[in-house]
Amino acid sequence: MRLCIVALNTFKESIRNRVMINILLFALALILLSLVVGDWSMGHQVKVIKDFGLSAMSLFGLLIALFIGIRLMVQELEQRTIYVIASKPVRRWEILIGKYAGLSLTLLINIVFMTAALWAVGFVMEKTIDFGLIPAIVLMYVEILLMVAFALLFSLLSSPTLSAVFTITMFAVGHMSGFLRDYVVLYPDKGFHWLFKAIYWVAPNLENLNLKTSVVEHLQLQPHAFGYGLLYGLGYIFIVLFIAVAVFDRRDLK
Amino acid sequence: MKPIARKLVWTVCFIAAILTVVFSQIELNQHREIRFVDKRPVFLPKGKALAALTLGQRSLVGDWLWISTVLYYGRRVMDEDNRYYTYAVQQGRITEELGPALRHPDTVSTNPLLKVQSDLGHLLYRFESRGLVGYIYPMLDGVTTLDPHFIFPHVFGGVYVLMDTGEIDAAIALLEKGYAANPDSWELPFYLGWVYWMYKSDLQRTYQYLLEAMGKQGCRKYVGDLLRGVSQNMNRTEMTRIYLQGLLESTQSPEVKKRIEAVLRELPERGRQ
Amino acid sequence: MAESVIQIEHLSKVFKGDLGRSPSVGVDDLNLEIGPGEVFAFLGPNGAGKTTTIKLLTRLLVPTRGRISILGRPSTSWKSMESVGYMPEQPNLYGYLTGEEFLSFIARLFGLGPGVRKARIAELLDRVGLKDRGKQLIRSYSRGMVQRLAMAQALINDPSVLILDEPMSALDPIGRKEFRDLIFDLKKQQKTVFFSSHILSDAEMISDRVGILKGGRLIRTGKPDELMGEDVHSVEVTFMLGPDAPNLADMGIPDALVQDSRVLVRLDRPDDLSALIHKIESHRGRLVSVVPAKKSLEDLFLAEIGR
Repeated sequence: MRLCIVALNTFKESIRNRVMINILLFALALILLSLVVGDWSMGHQVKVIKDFGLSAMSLFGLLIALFIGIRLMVQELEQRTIYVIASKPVRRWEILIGKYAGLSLTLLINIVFMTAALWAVGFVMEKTIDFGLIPAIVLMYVEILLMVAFALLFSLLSSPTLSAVFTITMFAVGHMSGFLRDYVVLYPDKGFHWLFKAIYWVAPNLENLNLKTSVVEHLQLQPHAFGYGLLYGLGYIFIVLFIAVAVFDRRDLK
Repeated sequence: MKPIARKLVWTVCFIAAILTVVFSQIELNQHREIRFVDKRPVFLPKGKALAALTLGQRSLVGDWLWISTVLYYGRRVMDEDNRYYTYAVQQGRITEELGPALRHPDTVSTNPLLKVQSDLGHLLYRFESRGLVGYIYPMLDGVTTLDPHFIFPHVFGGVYVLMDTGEIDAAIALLEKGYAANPDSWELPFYLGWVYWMYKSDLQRTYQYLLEAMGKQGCRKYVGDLLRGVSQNMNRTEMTRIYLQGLLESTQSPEVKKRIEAVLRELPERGRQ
Repeated sequence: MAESVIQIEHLSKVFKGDLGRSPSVGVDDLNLEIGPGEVFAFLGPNGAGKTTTIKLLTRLLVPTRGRISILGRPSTSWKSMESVGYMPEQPNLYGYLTGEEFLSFIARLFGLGPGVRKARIAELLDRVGLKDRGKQLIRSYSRGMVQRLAMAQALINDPSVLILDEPMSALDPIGRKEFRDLIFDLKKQQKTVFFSSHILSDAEMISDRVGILKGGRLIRTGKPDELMGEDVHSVEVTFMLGPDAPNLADMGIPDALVQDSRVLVRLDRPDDLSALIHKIESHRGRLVSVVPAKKSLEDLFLAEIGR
């Protein structure tokens, strides 16, 4: 209940925050741009539009994770608005998870809005609505939530700039970790195996949450790809938020 | 709940979450393993590294590279950069859409349609094209590694570029790479069969690929016709007709359709010459 | 003393130093009990540990050692804040909300129902003088208005304990007067008020008891009267000079304020009083008043801090 109150307040904050609208406009512009670029693709305009649209949504999510995810608690701490909230009969984790949930709600609404825009463009081109994009968009949303969770955790442990660096690194490693494992398989005689393997198992494997290519090509999804991807993503989010709560719970609000 | 009990519950949840993550990773690995080990490591290191560097935006980067490739190819081959292209067009030897299908030297003697091939101009055109688009296969390799399920670039490189440049091995490698990544596709084995028949005269492989193509879902009727043609050792005119009918079915552009139909109407007469 | 409302036992807070900096002590072995209905002023120079103590009370900081309980609930429990109102020093509130929305948000955190919420918000906005500003965004408020709104949010749950950190620092003289009236009101309603201040005259006027904090240690507590009245350290004597009075210096009174024939003398040693009265009488002067001057809180404070 109190968690919802904090979440709704955070939602209200991001609605009244212009950064959100700017990023949204940017993403919409990118979808429009895809119309132009799609035209040069030798008859695969709709594919290119969907690729562009989905990538725009995912990159926009990363931007949100960076700008708003890091600011989420830092702003409260720096501007000392947290004093008024944390001194109320509220548990610390209710504040942290509430704020996280509020941002998640904002992101959900943005994703829905952008999906509608993408469908509208697709409908104009193809006269059908491609519901097959939904699994990819759901997992993309989970990936964005995971990046926000990381940004939140890092922002509790270090400065905003370092948090941004760490979050981007986590995003990069997360998308490359599969490659690291493949590298190990391909070149079993080269060194650093244990390191690559460790990174592969510890860092989030964000490719598990990336179905963008598959849905655009209308491939039959790999069995379990969606279900286990979802399970993986949600499990990882829980772990990261759990650590963030543990950090925040013991933290002095100086 | 007592604090200790609460702590215990949370610890259990935390461990459960870690186990969930590990478990789902293992499950996902099991299903991914199938397509992971690529039989032709020639394509692997560069392309895979490139894919890793796109940070999850593989399709987007693939599209960008694809568009660059198309623009690169178009500018080099179908523009004034290629002196012989303008020449061939002026001679009426190359119709713009069907040009690639009709420009092949190996069919000179048997296919009356392809007079162009006897022309020195075409040989020069092909030679020049190959020199002009030296990066086309590496670029297509990049595109198809980033977006292995995007079928068309494989066909583009495996059929169309081949006709312009005559780089048979690179074309076959690209088609085979595409087929390995898309074992459910009927188009890729079909084109492989076509290339093996047309360029390598390797009937055994042709049979094998066309048969495979026929076994896939969505395979068009003309694949069967072509297979029958190969088995009956049909002459090249008939084969070309079947091939063109196939193209006619698969194209979406009304303009191209019209032109193919025009060529098809002429085909029997020319065949009897 | 009746059962205490705030109880602090052996409270210590050590801040770990970041990156090799040595740790610093915020509060050192603090013991304090505050009874119901008491107005307690917490005094001390900057860095004495006032804000640290208040943040420990309000669960913003985690104590290194010691125990705090408020209304019988240990501060380790989040429920300990249910009947507490807290106003931080130089408060910052969410600029993107209007005054009403902010109070509504806080009221919801306390679990107040919609009916109570509406009535309480209207009443409090009126009480802190923001009646017509409730629908404006907080980011358009002045410093003083934010402070008033922060006071309103501290009262939203009708708390029985109020913890206020430098409540008067951003207020103008009129605001301070209003604030003092508010505290008197709260006192009438039997609320317990714990506030820190460096404005000693205000503390002297409104508090039942003061504590003086220095270097993280509580060095003095007591009623202002008691603290100040412990010893009379000087006497002010006013008298009229007689018609044939000689020069004051000749009378042995070097430092005096003279206005016409009216003289004010301040004696640093009260024992000198009888000698002075004798002198005045012998020169046919007339004694007007003898006032023993008690220490002001400020004197006391300076004396204690300087020690």
